Amino acid sequence: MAHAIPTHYYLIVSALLLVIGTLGVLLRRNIVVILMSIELILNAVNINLAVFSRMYHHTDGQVFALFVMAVAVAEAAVALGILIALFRNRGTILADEMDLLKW
Amino acid sequence: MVTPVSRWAMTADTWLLVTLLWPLACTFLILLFGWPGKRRKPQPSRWPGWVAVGSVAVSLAMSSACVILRHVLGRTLHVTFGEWIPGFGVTLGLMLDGLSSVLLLLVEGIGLMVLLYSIDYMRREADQSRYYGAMLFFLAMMKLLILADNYLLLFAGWEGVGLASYLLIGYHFERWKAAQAATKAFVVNRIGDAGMLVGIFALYQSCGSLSFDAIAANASAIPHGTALVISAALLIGALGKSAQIPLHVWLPDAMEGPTPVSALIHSATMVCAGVYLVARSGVLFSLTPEVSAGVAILGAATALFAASVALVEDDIKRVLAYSTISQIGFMFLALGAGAYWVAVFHLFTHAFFKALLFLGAGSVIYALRGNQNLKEMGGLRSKMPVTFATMAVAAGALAGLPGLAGFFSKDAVLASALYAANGTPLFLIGLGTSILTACYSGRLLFLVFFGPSHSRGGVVPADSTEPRASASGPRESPPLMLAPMLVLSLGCLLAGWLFAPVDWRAWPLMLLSGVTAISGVWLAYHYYVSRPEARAPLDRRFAVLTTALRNRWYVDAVYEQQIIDGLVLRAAQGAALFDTKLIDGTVNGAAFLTRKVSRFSRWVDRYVIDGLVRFTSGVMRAFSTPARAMQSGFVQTYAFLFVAGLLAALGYFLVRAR
Repeated sequence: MAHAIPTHYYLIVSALLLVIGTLGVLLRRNIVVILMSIELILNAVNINLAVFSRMYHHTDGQVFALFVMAVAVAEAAVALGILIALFRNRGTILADEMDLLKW
Repeated sequence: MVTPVSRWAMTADTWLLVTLLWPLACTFLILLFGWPGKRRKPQPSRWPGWVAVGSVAVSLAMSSACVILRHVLGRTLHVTFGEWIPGFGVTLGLMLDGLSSVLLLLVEGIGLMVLLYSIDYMRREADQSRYYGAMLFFLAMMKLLILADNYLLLFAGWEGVGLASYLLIGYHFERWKAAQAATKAFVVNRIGDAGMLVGIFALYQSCGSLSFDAIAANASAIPHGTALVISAALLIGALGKSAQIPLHVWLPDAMEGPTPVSALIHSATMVCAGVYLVARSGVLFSLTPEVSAGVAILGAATALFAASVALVEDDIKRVLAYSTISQIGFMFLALGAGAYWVAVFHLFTHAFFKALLFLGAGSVIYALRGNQNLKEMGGLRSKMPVTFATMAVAAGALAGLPGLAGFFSKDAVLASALYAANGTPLFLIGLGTSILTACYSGRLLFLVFFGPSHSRGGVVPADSTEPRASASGPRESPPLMLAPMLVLSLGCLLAGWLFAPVDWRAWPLMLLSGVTAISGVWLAYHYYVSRPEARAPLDRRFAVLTTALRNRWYVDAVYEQQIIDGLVLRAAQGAALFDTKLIDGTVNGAAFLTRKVSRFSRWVDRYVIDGLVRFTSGVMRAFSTPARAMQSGFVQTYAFLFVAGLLAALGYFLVRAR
């Protein structure tokens, strides 16, 4: 396995994905994009899980990554449902036009 | 053993109560259904008059039944139906004895005639139910006064009569003079009532009871000084109600009321109350010869004084008013002489002819469209024959022409004065007054019905609201007004014979009084019919006297100046001073203090209490403002804080790890 890509390369990609995802969540207005950014964050986690699983020759991480994917799918479905309901009520999907979370 | 007769007797006693309550109920009925309401202007309607006449007729029947029963049973009817004040010993009870029987029938009979007369006389008046309600109330209260078996209940009726007279004298309350006259009558009567109350208190103090029976039984035990106080105080009450000197001033002014009211007040009700009171308290007055002498002197003085004023008055109703005062003076003369039955006898006959004179005067006034001035009347004999005939009978009775009602009673009064101890001067005054009486009765009759007509035709005083006749000159009144007058003239003819304890052995006295009456009438005839031109030199020769007479001996003027403008004004000024300085001062001071206190309280409220509240809330606000700013409601703000916190925690651990 001499030609294997070293683990820290993966970790750098994963860190980049995390930062990009986080900035996306914080800075974009469109809730759809925010949801996509959340997916990026989850993918960064998944990469980490997979890489460490390979490094330690242990399958738990890979299994856990599969769980994360399933949860992410469910989360996306629920979030999009809420989003559609919101759009029907308020006619917008921009996050900075919704300030209901203080009530 | 309960025989039918005694069972009847029990019910007879309770019948007294029914006869008293019946007119009160009718009063209530008339006032209730005749009430015009607040907005509607009252419309003339005839039903209250007929209801009043009917109810008095029923009442008269019931009273007659009671009187007959009393006669048949031969005892005083007496019913007690309650206790006024428990423990005070004053019961509510009615009593019918000989004295009250006479007065009861008199009141009801005259009242019935007057009410019947009113139906046509008052038919133009808008507020019929107020008039008839007050009249019925008047009669009911008079009945209460007559039937009461104790002084307190008598006083209740006494006050009720005063109230009713106030309402009736002030019937045309929209006229200033009528309202004034009503107030005057009320106030002058209050003065007498105050005296009467003192008498009642003193009576209760010394006898422990107010019922006539108990007082008659205990009277001899009353110390002489107390008895003096009691009878003097009761006399003051009687003077006020019966319009005797010095409390007579209200009666002539009471002429502002409608004429039937005057007829009622002057004949059988109101003014008789004083005579009744003294006669009822005969036991007390006979204990105090000093006060009795005072009664006689006051009565004689009043009789002379009022008769002299009646001689020159020009208002037909005022002549009759002074004549009433004078005749009541005669009654007081008899009362003072201890001849209570004679006084009541004169009261009885006087009621007939005085009521008739007033009704006749009303008939004349009705025909002349409200004109009451004797100088503008005359020659009405042919135009109003029935009025003339009835009034002639009444004036003759007043003058004391032999055979008519007044002759017997006046003769009896004079006899009682003559036979009383030291009564000769009073007898002479009475005799002189008889001449004056005959003279002014004649003058009244001759000025109205004889001589040329002075009627100016259509002269209506601007403030008069008396009913007006049609424009075609004076003519006879409607039959509904004449009928009661005819009935009463029958009374004038017969009343003297009915009760007269005629003592034919006293024929010299009767001859004397007959001669005085005839000579008085002859004097009037001489100066007013056969030689009217002889009056002017007479007037000139006695100018001082006639001026004094025309000014009613200045009594009213003196009262006005000394008492109203002097004493009362002074007292009112004092009261005003007291009011403005002390009472207003107290009130204003209290207001000032309250204002100051409330200003301080407002300061405390605003700065201390509100300040505390605001301080608390301000502190909370100051602390919460940053925390509030964090909670913007935007999802991304929260996410930012999230990440920032995460990074801070991360940074912290990194720094620690180093």
